[in-house]
Amino acid sequence: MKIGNKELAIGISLLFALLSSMLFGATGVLALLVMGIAFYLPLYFIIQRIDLEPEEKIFYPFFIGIGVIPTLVYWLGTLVSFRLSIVVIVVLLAGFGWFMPNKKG
Amino acid sequence: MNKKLEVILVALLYLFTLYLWTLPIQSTPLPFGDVDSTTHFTIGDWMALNDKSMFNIPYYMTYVLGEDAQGKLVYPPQFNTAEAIAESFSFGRIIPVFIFYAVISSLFVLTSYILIRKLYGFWPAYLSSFFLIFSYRDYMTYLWGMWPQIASFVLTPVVMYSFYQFVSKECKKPIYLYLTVILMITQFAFHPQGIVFSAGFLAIYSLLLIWKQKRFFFPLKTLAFAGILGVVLLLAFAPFQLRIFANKIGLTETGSEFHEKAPLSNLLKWYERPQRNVGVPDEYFNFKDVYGYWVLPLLLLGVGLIIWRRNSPDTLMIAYLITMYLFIHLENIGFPRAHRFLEMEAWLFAPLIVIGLLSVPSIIPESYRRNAKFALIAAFSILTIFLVTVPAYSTLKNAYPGAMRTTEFHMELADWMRENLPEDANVMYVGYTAFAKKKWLRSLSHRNIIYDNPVIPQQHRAINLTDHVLIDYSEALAWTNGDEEAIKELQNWEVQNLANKTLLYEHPSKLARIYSLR
Repeated sequence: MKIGNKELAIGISLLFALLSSMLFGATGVLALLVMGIAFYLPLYFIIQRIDLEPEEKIFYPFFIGIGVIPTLVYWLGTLVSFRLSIVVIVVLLAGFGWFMPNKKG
Repeated sequence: MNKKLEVILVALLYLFTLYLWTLPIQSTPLPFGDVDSTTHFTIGDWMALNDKSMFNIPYYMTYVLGEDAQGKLVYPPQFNTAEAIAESFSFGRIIPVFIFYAVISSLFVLTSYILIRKLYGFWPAYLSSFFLIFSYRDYMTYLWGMWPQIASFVLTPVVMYSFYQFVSKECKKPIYLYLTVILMITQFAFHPQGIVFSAGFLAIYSLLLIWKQKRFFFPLKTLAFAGILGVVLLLAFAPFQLRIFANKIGLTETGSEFHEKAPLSNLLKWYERPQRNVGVPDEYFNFKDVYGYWVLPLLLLGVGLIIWRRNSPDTLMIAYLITMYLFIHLENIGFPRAHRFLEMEAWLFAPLIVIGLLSVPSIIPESYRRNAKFALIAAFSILTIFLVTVPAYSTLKNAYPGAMRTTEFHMELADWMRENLPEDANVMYVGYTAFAKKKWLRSLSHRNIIYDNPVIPQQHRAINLTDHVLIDYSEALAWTNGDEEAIKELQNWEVQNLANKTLLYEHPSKLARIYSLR
């Protein structure tokens, strides 16, 4: 049986969920999930549209997201509820990435 | 190497890293850390619990951040906001944030892998990252709680990677330069020392490349655009902290942290422990304790090889080596925290050690080389497990044991104070506990706790403002080695000074009480 990229990503995510669940229960799983969704996902959609090497499209989102997302959340969080600002920024950026046209670098 | 197999192997490597680096909170899910860890924690915690960004610092932090802060955060808010994000939607106040610390602090295992994989391929990257999991200076810095500095440093290998990609693609893909800039600004936002090192590296690497190619080959328009991008991002990321940073490096008249210069003889050594106390143990500066002498010949072989070969990846490593040498000798011009750059030394040395190791088969007949290579990889892995893994495991598992760690008892006291005392309360802590744990009480209670080294504080700046007293007997037996006289003295002090004050709270165990003096 050939394993596709999607299956591989799901399998690895499940491995991390399993480890954090064994060590810290639901709190651990949720903590990793929150970090994954907040710091990785929005930039993942955006970086997929940029002309980079396949493995770079996997690792850049986190390293860019860890700086960009807190910046935007922080500034919006001075005006509205902090939790709301997390949701708004994540949804807006992910949506922006989703609809963004492919770009050449 | 099959790409999918590689992804699985790297995932397993990081899974193991995460297991190891979360050991301090697996058995004791309570906060730990020294130095400024309590400040790093409390800012994010305050944002998560109050559901708003911290713009002006709350009252209880005015005595922590000092005049530098001018009512604002000293460092840019990104690291603390990231902590708050991790805490905001998770169950729990401590575990999610400390998982975040473990993830961010151990990321160098992956960022180093990314860089070395690009330069030298799978085995050097995998083997050196495996070695790095147990890197003494890295896990000690993590345990001390210098998380923003680590977060800034861990991005350095990705900065190098991005710039390497930019130049190796003949500067025709400016996106890599822009990514370099974004990553460097993120470094600045986490801790200024990261961007300073990266900027030094880029300068030295660029000079080496220009010298090699004997021409200036960077497109000026792209450089100018990257510069503008950097300035715009800097203003968006940290508008209020730039001035504080300028103060620290001595660019303004309010002074700097520069101090007496180290002796010139230091330049003849790779590194020497600073003469003044920099708050880290002697082992931190000792090659034997940090790596073990068994890797020294391999390291020298690796260094010799990159200098002799000087191909494109080697040039980057040479620039890395020169940058490291210069930055850890910044004490020679009076730069105060040069020893902190040593945290990144293992990320340079580990790949060089492995390069040295994997060069050994080249001296034997070709037909044996493949087998010899795998024999060496196996031997290196086994030695790493026996010589490096065991102390790392033990240190991480037994970090802040017993009375050295904040207790459930203190968590309860802090929760009560946070929920019941006014935000501008000044609570004098009277009792026996570790100094760092007094800081944690402040950090967890979000109230100004007045404390210093003695059991009854004498010198805290806000001592005259005291309007509440927390008297704590919970660890008195442990810290006085069962000296009942000392405990009786404390009880007498309580009777003499607090008997006619309002008792606001008594812990069910009767081992702590909070009085109001208002």
